[in-house]
Amino acid sequence: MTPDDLIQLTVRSAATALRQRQLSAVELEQAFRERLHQTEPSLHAYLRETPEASVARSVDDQLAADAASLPILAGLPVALKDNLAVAGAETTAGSKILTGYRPARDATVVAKLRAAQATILGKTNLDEFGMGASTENSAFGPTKNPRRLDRVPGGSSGGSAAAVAAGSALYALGTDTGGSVRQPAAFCGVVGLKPSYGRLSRSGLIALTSSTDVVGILAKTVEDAAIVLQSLAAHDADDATSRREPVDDYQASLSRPLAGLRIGLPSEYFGAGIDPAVAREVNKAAKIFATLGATVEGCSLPSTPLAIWVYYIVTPAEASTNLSRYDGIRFGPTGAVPAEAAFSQRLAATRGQGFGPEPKRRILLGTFALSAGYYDAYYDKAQRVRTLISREFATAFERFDLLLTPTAPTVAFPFGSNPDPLSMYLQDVCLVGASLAGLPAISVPAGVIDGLPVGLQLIGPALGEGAVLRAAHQFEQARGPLPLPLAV
Amino acid sequence: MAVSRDTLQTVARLARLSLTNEELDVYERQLSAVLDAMEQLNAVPTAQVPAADLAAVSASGVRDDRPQPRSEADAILQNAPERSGRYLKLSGGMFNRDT
Repeated sequence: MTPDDLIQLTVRSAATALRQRQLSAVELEQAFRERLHQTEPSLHAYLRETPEASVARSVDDQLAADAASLPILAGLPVALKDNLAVAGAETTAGSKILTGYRPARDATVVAKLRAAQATILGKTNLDEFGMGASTENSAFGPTKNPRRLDRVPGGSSGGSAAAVAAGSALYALGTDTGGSVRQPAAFCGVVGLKPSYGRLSRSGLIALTSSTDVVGILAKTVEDAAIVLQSLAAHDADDATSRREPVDDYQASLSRPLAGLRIGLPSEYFGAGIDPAVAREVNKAAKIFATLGATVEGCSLPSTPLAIWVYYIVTPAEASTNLSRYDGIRFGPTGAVPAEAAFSQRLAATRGQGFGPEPKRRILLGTFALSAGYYDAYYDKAQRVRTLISREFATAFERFDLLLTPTAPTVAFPFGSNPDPLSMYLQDVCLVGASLAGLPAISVPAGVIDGLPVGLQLIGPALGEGAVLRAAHQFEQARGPLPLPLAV
Repeated sequence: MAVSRDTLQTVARLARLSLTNEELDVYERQLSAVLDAMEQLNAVPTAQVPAADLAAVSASGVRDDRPQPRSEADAILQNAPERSGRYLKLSGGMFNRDT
């Protein structure tokens, strides 16, 4: 196989090729690292590499001795968003305030990848602490979209999505708090899976919004996302919100026909604020679902336009609490102050100099929304409307198995085109509902407008990953593949 | 609602965040705009609706309170900007009065 063939492999085809001895794990890692070195100067998808040559060599030894006992992810090169802890390796969450921070332990999902003998290529770029939809908020500079370098890759998991699209990672882990896996997947033309809240462990994920944060998967195909989810999903005693329900066999059900599947098209996701060309592509996709045997009907989720404001109260409130731990005492750089400064001044300077503009904005907004006198009007109000949003989804899932929507209101936008925070927040309009309600959702490439991919989103009921993956897989088979942007 | 300069400065002090005057100008404007947009929520009647508690819905309970063997203290201490042996160190100022 040529290097171009190798970087176009999927998780499934690479695992098969390794077992058939058509290539070695060392060759596979080398091909992805070469592609990474070739594309990084133009993309900046990675913040740093994590070289560990011994893993691939050990996998090759085991392939020769006893291939049957190897986990499916063994020897497959993965990229990790830099808000997932890797023991001993710098982990910054895209923030200067964590410069030099080396976690003492692996995140649970990282430990599972290591146990599966995955080859960890490196840590990918993100909006600072996951706060953004473009990677423009990274303290270390933005990532570019491999499909068009003047466009953002989406965010916050923009580095992970760009790496998968460019072929500089076979698959990647991201995190999704209000769309941060699904939206960059849509912008870069790859698959992005946000599992149900609690399905994958959050232990070792640097917290943004504890009530919506999930680890997510970016991959070339839906089948790959199913394989990775299957390998990582399990109850984790280190995460008190980890779910104990048994993990379904996602791969087994992928090909089950869609006949009888009921799909709802919520009108609020196709109206004001959504680019009509995007809505058209998703409506075309709805027709494909119908030809696959699903029944597709319109429906209404009237609280949808409110979800964005609920989200932008809840997320700053929880973020301001989570970010209060950054004090420059236990880790990270200390702010520059005169020697005689009081401790409180030192602390405020550390935080004032360490956090970028978006974390500061959210700390202020969240502290305000939680402060005495404003708590009832903002935070409590938002949590009540959040209950209404969850109830609307629950009612919709009495009638439908899945909901079909656009992932993002537009295709990937040019750098600098959302300079004010309000317009950037509105990017998340189709995404935050599933996050607030803790539901599984996936973004799959639906079509292309002027060379830029459009993503469709399928949302399922809690722990309904099986149906979400199955419908997405069969749509992907019917639509055909979106070629990788290998010209980068 | 518009956020006054005083309120913003109080919030920044509560959040232990030092901000320049330029930053205060920007955030005063931006936070007021965001809070204005959020007033849409006031039109929703919620007196009879409980506040969401997703963590409680999916919580799997806490683990038994038993010591776990961990040997990470050294790795954790390696991250400290200043330390003295196995202690974190704060150079001066902890008990200085705010000026």
